Amino acid sequence: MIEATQLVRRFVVKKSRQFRSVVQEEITAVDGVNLNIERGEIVALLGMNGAGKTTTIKMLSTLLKPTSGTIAMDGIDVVSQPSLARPLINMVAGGEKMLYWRLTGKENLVYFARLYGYGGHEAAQRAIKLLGMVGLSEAADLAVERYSKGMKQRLQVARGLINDPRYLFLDEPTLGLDAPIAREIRNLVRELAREHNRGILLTSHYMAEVEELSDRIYLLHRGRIIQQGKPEQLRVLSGEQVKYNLTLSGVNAANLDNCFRDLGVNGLKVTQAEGTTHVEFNAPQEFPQEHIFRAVTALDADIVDFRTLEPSLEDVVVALVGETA
Amino acid sequence: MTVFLRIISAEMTKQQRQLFADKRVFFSLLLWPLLLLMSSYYMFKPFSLGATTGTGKVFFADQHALTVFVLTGQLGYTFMYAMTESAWRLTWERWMGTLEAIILTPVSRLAFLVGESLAFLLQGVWMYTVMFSVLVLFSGYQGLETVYIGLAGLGFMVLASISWGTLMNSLFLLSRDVGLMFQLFQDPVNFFAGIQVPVTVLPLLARAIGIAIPLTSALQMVRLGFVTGNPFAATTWIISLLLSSVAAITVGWRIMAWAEDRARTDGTLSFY
Repeated sequence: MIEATQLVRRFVVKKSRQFRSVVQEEITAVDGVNLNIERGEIVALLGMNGAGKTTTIKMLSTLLKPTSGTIAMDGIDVVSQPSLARPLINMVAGGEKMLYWRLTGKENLVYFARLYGYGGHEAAQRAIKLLGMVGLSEAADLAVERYSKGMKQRLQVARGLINDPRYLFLDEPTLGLDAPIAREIRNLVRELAREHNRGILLTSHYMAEVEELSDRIYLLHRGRIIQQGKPEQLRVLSGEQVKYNLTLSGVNAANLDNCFRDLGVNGLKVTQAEGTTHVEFNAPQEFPQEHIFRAVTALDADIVDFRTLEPSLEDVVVALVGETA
Repeated sequence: MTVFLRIISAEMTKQQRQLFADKRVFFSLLLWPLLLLMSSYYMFKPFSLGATTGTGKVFFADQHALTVFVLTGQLGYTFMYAMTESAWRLTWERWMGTLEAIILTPVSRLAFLVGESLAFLLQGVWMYTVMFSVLVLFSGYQGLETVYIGLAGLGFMVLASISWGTLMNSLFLLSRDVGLMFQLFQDPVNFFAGIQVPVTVLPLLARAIGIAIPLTSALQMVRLGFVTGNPFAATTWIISLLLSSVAAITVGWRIMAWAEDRARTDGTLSFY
């Protein structure tokens, strides 16, 4: 397990003023973050731009030293013993960097495998296996500069797996990718966690992606974790309400209005058309649905259609961040 | 040791593939060293050696000696320049984010630095062979002896260049202003290593600085080789070459560790 405790990262930034003077300013990018990642689970780190997601990932991946705080990884102190932690981790960043464009996909992977101490034959075998895993077998001997953006990103994921890491940090892995390619990457990430027991930390701006993949979410805002939990727990915490849409038949609109108001729902809207009554309202996450059915039964009405719309993770994040701000 | 050599080999392969995707580039390396040699040779050609005789300031016994001096200097400089060119490549690695990917691995930093420097070995050997052949042709030296001098000289140059390249690579990790850094180190090497001026005429301090540069000793040994027929004639220069090379590699290695630690502290590794 990775366990980060009270992580703080401050940077000193210099601001130039028309070449005359330089003012130094200290900014706190990460401020007392506590998080943990178990093997086999996907944990998401969410937040607006500048929330401290990348800084946190860089600290976990040994590229950046925390100003204070500790990071323990399967009994290793990552801050003081980065060389022991490095064989167990890897990082994949979104975009087209971290690859050698004039080298083929296979050559790239063989090179990185050898940096991890694999012999020539073993490195080649590993490269072939990973290229197959990310669906790049046919492009193995093609220079990376000929790859599409999606292919480069898949190669990045393969590079991230070259050392068979226990923990993988994915920083915006589907950034700028088309929907089908992004879906392929998501499937791969899910497979890595579920079938290969990797612990995955994911940052992404695509809320649907986070919602689809993550077991737990940490919500960062201005360097601090403002909420954490499973997606459904965050929904409750956010106070964002569920939208209900009902179509009923055989009911008097006036009675219905009174009855639903008594339930304490919000934004009630009743409309009638062609012998049916359409009811819309919002209710909190914890609102018991049986109250609705009881009310409909009391009115002696028939339910023609019943739909609920959960708030999106995006709504939840906006609400939670807005609350903190 | 096996892992160390594997990394060096991986680094060399990567750089070769990255830099010389088109093998024809090697032939361009035939042309410009020749031009450099010719320019050096003809630069000194008009000056009469006779003018210094009788003044007690004779440094070169004859035109051959001058030719050997000038051409070996140029050869050493070009070889060193080609090998230390890898230092520029580190800036490119920084831009492409691959340096970050390398730092993320547990790879031996020393093996990485030496490998980066050695990546240009093939190019260096090719250029050395071309230039040495021209040198022999111009200087008039002949026979098996010159092959011996040539091979020994290649060994000296490789050692001097790898060690200096390792140091340069580590220094280039400290700064993003590579152009300035390159000039800052390359031009003084030209002067202190006795490429165009014999180190023996330099002031004591300049000579001391020169000795710290491995190329100085390597050049002296090649030049002595031509004079005495034995490139290993002067033990002092052999010791000096070994010591300065070990020192350059050790300092480079320590700087790399320090630079990495500094980058982790101030977060500059991913700044381009």
